[in-house]
Amino acid sequence: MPEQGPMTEAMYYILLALLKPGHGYGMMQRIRELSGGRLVMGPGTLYGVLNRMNKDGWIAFTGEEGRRKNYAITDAGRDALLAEYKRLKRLVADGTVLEEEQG
Amino acid sequence: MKYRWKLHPSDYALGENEKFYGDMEAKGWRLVKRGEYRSKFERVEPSRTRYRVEVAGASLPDGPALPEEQIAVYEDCGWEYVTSRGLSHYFRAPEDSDAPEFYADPRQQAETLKGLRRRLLVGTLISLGLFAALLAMILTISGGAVELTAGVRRYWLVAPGLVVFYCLLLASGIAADTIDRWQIGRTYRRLKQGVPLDHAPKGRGRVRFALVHGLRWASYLFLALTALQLVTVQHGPMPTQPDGPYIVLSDVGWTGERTDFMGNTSRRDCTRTFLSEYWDTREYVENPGHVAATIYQDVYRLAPWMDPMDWVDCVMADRIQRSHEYIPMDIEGLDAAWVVEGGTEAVAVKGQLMAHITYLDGEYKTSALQGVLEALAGRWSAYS
Repeated sequence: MPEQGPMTEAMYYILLALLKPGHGYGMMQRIRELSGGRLVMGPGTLYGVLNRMNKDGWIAFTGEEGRRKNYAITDAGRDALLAEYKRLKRLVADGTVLEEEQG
Repeated sequence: MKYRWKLHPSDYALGENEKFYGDMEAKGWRLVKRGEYRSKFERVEPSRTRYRVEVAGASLPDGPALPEEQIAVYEDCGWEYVTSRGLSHYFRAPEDSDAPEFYADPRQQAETLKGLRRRLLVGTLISLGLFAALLAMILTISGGAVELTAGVRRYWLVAPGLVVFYCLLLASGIAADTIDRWQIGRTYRRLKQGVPLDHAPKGRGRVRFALVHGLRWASYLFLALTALQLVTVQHGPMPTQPDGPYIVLSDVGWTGERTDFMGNTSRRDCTRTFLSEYWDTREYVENPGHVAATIYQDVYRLAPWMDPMDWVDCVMADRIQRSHEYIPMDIEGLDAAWVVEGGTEAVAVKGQLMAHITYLDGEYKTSALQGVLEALAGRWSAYS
């Protein structure tokens, strides 16, 4: 497994979306829901990230519906997502000093 | 169904192509197919449509094709797959649809251009390799750079259209390659810096269009002029009496029968361009019981603004005996003359006339060449 640096926003949300297995377009809709409509992921971005994470073993191909391919998160992907979540949480916790400063 | 074809921007001008197809659809011409230089459109009701190009990675297993799955995702998002050419794949969606842009992050789109940049580089290297191989071959055949330059200059005198055609075609290729390289490199760098692709660039692409297509069409024009010149070349058997500023073997005492030599017959061709009138002759004569004599002549009458002395060098470079040097010879009635001593070749100039003669009589004496030049001087006296 590659050494994990900070994830891009696209990677983070795709892994989040794939906690429920699905195909590309379904993932895009789910990402929009998860982000409260804030993040509209382009199909090019989605496909590029899926490809890379599939190669890295974070997600796995689970079957096909016509031309659509279904993917699910792997254990390695889940670990990476969890690690990133913890890292982000730490960042937010560290940032509370900002609120204290602003009163 | 009504169709039309129209020249499109280069494969390497992404935003220009997107704008071009959008503009065409707004005028009621919908993209059907992209060819090498032109695209095919069908007549439709004008509509405002977004076109977007996606570049395939050119790596196995899909090669220049986009994976079916990728197309399916794009189509699910509201994009219609239209057509492809090389690595470029074209999609469209109505202007007011909510089909999302392919890439929210330009840096990621930059990654997709690597295959296209590599393909351009490989194309350039192949072209350069072929050009180098061709140049090496021509240099070997012609005997060196000096001889090659001289050969091009001789072509310039008798078929300038052909030389201009090659030069313009080469310039068109170099211009296209240079502009494409600059353009795709610039797009890549901007995307890398996080600047989104400009889907409606203004004015760019016109310079390339005008330069590359202008040069190419101009080259075809000169090729057509050369073809026209070829059609008007006067081919014919060698006349008994010269009908131009050249000599026949009977002028130097060969009165025997005209004969064939290695499948060639005696003939005289004549052509004319804005630079010169040109006679190209070959004559074979056999006297009974004697060795056959052969004479080849390239005779030029240059345009009044040209000085034959500037062109003597390139005519001399066309010699058979490359190890021998030309030496000057005074011949009455000629402005200047040179012979290859003990050889077979002579060059002469008078006024606007210039000749290169190869004379083979089996004896190869300088005095024989002198006789040939004197006969030529006699013939040229009628042309002064």
